[in-house]
Amino acid sequence: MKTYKHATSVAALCLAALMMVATTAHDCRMDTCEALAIGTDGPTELEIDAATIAVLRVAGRDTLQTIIIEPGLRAEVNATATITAPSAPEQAGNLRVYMGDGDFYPDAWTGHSADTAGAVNGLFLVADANWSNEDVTRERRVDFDLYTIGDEDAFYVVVWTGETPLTFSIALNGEVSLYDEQCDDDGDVRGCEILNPTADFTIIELSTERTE
Amino acid sequence: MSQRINVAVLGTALPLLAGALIYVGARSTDLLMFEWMQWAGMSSLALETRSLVGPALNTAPAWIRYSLPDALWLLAYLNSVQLIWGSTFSDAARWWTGAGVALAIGHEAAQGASLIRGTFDPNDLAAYLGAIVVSAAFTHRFRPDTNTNLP
Repeated sequence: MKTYKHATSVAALCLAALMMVATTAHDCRMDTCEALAIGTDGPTELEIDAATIAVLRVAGRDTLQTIIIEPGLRAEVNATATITAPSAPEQAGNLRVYMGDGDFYPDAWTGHSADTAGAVNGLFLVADANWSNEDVTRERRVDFDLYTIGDEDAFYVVVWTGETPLTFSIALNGEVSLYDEQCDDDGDVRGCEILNPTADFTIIELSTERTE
Repeated sequence: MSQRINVAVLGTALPLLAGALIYVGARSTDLLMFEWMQWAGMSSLALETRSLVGPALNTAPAWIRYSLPDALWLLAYLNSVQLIWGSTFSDAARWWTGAGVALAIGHEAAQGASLIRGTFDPNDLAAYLGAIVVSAAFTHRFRPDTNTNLP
């Protein structure tokens, strides 16, 4: 009986140790992981495995990598995402598009028009299309605006394809505007002086094809 | 037996589940567990869970997101020792209790010394202390019945 209890105790302790390992950070962050860092400076095509999240890193300003927002400034992103499926999926499924910061922390980006009800921590659900093989439009166009305050934040688009094999492309364009953070503290920058009027996105297109 | 069920459900399973929900719902996806979940075909479940509990957790104080899970998991372990051994006062139970506490505190200390990956946080140590106190209270509350189940 005691042997059984010791063995069970060993299992419990091993489980505790396993949980400690599982909850440590992986080295490959979204912004450095080669397979996920997609943008104008990276590959424009990506094969994603089943039920994988494809991440498109979008950047504003001339660096085209990261939106640098100095303390005291506020950045607002106004953009349009167009998701196009050239062919019908083999079976019905979800195509969800989230946008926001890549670390999933809630305090980086805040949405205005994005559907906060579908938020996944710092990411905002901006498109939730249940595409089926009867869908003839093949296109979803979403206008959105997000803002962030005073930090070095990257802006990401996360496309969730669920279990449905799907080929699609996504195009984004828009602009980043910088404001004085103190101008208005209620989340509405209308009427504020724009410090940097147009820091345009470069249009970025991403094509992904799910492979089984 | 009902006392043992209480320990199993309230003292072990519930803290485990709550800690897991906090991690899946509110922590960075850079954690290895998300890679493992993806490998296990549970990415959809993770995303749905984040969608469901994430917004609420994100408005919670930081210690709930970052320290409470540690306390919950140590609590689950300590209560599982009680469940296995029936009493925390036997030598063997004391040994396994000490091993769990040493693992938790040692893990945090090793992070502080940069021996392993992770972030040292004194709040985590406080959370572990809280878990030990709660577990002791739990043991006291459910002790009579568990003592009757000693071999």
